[in-house]
Amino acid sequence: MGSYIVRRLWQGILVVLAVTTIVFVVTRLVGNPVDIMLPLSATTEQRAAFAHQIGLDRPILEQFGTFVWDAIHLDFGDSLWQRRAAMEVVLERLPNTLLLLVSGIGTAIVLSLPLGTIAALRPGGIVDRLIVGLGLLGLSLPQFWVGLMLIITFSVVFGLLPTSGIGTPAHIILPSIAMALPSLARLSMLVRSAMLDELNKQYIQTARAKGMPLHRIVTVHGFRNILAGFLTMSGWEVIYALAGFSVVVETVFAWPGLGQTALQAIQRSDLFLLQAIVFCVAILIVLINLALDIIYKLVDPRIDLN
Amino acid sequence: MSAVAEDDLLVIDDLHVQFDTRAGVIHGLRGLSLTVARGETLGIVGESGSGKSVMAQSVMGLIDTPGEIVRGDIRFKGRSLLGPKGRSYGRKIRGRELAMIFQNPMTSLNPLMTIGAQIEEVIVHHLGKSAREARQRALELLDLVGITSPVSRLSQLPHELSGGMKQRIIIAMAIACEPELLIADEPTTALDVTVQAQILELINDIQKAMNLSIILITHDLGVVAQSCHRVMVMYAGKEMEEAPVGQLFSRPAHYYTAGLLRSTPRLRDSSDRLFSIDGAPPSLIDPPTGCPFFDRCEARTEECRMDPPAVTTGNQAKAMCWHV
Repeated sequence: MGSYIVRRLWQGILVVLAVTTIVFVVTRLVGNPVDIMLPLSATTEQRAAFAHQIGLDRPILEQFGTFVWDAIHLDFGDSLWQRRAAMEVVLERLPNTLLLLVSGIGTAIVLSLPLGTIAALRPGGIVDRLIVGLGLLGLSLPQFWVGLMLIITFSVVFGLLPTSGIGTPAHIILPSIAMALPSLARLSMLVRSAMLDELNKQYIQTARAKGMPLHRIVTVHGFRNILAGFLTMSGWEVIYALAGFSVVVETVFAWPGLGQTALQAIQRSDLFLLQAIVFCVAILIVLINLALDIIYKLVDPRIDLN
Repeated sequence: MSAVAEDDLLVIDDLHVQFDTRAGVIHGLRGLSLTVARGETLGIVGESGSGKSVMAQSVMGLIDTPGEIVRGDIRFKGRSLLGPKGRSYGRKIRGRELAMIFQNPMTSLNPLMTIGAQIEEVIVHHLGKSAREARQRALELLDLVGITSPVSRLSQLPHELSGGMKQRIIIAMAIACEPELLIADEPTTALDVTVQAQILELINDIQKAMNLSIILITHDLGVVAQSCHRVMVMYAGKEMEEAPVGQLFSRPAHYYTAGLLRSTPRLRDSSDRLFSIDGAPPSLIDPPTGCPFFDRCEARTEECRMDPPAVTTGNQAKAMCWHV
């Protein structure tokens, strides 16, 4: 297991390096970074000065070497928009996104287990049809629309919760609900079908013949066997959100997270900030995948990691 | 219906089980009655789809929607297992006084639970023992079913064991609370021939040691001859014949039983063709009235279109046939 983790960490470093290289190449392929970052009105002298300042006048390999060296030291240059270190901006916004992920996706993960299981106990029953119906609704309603409806209902009409922004615990409730809904729908449907599969297996019959009570059959026997698949999908929900899908909720609720910052960096042609964001997200995704693999092995000892 | 004797452990009385499927209502059992006395091994023989397993599942409370017990009764030690009261009685005794071994040991154990945990949960749940006592009992059980180095086995997962070992584990789970009735649904079918003999021997030994009653479901007449006191032959959800094992093999009364016996290959038989009964069992979606073996029977007459009588053919023996 230890050697496996070391090997996966090496692979992760390679992935991060590859992502960084791609970012480096793409930002120089799409056009001259100077033209992208400076306003149209900039003079030729200003352009040359800026190119020199960010090192664009040096050979490409030397630029890449410097870029990688700085990246290792988590230095991605200064954000043009914020006029401070890009990494500082990222580290300031990242906790907000993580908070939204934990409360939103976390809620979805916690609630989907009982909902999916209850639905699976009586397939085709009233409770099952209700949960499946709500699941389909949660899957098909666009997240931004759900967010707006939540604001209209709870903030505008009833005045219970703030419309947007960050600060008090009350601020996080509506964005979390909007964040949780599609994940909750997907994960509940997954738990339902996995549990249905599991409950029809022979070993469940054995457990029933042994006289085990239903709650034990479901929570001990069935749950243990769907856990690996469930954790994988939960991990993917976190990765989706990290990789940019949180931008919808962050924008609707003016939540100063990483997704929104990435959007703003794109709109403002802030290449250095964008590089820092992509780098951090890539590292997080690599780490989540590694954690998933390790949890997988712990949950199902039959899996041979090597 | 024969009078219920006091020492009958299990009584099944006119049991009808149906499965409401898209293709139609499948009549899995159509009025099955049987009794199992204390200490007795009753063999149940029949082809696939004759209702043997449906009978076992009915007793174990494993009939799920779309299946339903529509008529009849199952009594264990004189108390019904059906209805709301029966279900709560059943929950108390299943796994404790009434246990079952399944056909395929490869899929009958939880793949992610250790052998120890799967045996101990029965003991903890039914006998209220502590974890330590349960572990002790599990070790005894593994020893009893002939598993070597039981201490290390307890922490192993099912995939680390062979099929024969898994079946031994399943037997250990079934007898953990010293049940009075054990239902074994084709316990050796999925195993290698050499292992089959060992498992059968184990079941026979346990029966003698614990004075168990056993219902042994099989389609292997050799197994029946080896292990059973009495045999019931089933066909298309009904009983065809029952008799003590010696009588059934020497003087089968029903034409179906005779055909079944002739279908068993024999070493000394010089002909190079195996005997088989022509035709196939009737569909259970719309089963015919009268004798279910009608279409395939060499002795059929017009009266066979009516339900055959139960003809007594000896002590504890009867055959459902017009031509005995």
